[in-house]
Amino acid sequence: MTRIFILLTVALIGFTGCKKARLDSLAFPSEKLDSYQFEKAEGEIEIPESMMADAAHYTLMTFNSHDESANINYKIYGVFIGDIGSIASDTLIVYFHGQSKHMDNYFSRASLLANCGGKYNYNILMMDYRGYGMSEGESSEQGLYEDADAVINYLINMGVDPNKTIYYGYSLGAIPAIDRLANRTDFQASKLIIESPLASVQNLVETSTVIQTDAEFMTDLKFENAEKIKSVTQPLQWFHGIEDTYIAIENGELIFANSPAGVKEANRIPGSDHSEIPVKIGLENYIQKVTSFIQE
Amino acid sequence: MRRLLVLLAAGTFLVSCSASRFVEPVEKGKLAGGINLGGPLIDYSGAPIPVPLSSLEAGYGLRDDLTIYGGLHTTAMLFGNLQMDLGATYQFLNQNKYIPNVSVSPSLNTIWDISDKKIKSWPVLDLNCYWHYGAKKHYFYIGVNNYFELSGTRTLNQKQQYPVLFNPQIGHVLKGKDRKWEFTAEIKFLAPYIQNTYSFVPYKSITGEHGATGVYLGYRRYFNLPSKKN
Repeated sequence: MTRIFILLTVALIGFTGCKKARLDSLAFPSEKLDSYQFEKAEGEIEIPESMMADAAHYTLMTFNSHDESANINYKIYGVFIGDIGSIASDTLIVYFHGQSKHMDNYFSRASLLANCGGKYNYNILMMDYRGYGMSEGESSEQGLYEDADAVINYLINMGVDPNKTIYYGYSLGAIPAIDRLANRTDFQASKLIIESPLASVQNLVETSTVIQTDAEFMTDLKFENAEKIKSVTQPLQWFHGIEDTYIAIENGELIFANSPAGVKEANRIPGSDHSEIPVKIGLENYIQKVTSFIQE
Repeated sequence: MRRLLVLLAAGTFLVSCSASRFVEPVEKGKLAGGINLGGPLIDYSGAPIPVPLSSLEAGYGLRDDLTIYGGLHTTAMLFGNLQMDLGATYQFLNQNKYIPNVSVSPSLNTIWDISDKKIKSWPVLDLNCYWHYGAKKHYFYIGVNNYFELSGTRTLNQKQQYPVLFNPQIGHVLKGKDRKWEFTAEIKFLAPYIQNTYSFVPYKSITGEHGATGVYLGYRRYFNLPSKKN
């Protein structure tokens, strides 16, 4: 018995000195790439070839993303769809993609948005967060904000008009889109579109454990979209699948309810799961809804 | 996309992470120690698998009808949390033909994040009926496990809809030679009245879109404590 007690005591002391496991990295199921395939890659949604951006109309770009805590710069990659010469004068949609893989997975979605108001009518800019695709570094919550800042700094340098800039955040992408509108004051995009967003990590944990469980017992991630949206007054368009089995629509409802925007539009899509919205409402219909919101 | 995040299901280590502890009290003066494995079933790439949770347990028979016990949740330790449940089992009804033995086990499940100094407790109450059979007095049991949430609100000022998490359970305990060890297999029907489609974790349930089905295995050994010499 004494031996067991001593062993347990030693194990407990050892445990308190161990680095604790966190689930943070699981929020970023990225994949590394040596090169992008874009229109040749299999995307999350399938769109007709006529809607897909072709190589003559997109440009691979790099940005310098500064990691404040480690004082390191990472090269992150992005793709610009449209006429880069018109970046300062045309309407621009900054597309913050979801959590999976890399930009290849979302190129069809970004291409779809390039059809709003006619093909290549608006410019689209999408980036791979650090750790995704060819971008350097490791993904993190703070990294999302710093990577978004890298792109915003570029836009400022290029003289892009924030009044002609729209942030579109899909799923994980809603996190940097909302955060930068809430916290970055030197470049305020004019409108916000969010698709299938989560309310917060705490909310995800509590809906999964039913009882009140502090998310910090297992993760350092916060993703406090529903709280941060309270500081975002830009017009808001929200899409969410009623049948979303991944991020339940209640998440989006909390964000939408907390939004103080004078103009806000909810699109609750019947029969749609997390990543199906453009397909379920019809690609043309989806494009029309986004275009109408931008042109209002 | 879902495949990796499914591991957030490990978050369920906070509740329902073991088979019901000490349905039958330990004999007076004996010590029992064991290990439990298993958890709620989740959809992992199309296949239902139990979340791999584990815990260690120990119990001591104060009287033949009263056992005190504790459990250490080893999965929670990986995340830097010291999670323990401490409780007692009291048997207040003895088997008489088809009338079962009935025991009640109140306990307190507490998790403590050592580095962040966070602590949270849930009172738990198990009530089990069990029937012995055979020469070795194996037994099977049915009962309920109840978690009580004392907080009235959830995050983002939402109302706590479920102050009690009600989990029916059935199990069987197989005893070894000279009753020195026993093997437990249990199925819990976790919150079978709550719709699981709102959950981020893709739980699997035999009731479809409600609750989750938990599968647990346990192994326990009994020890005679050395008697005190005068």
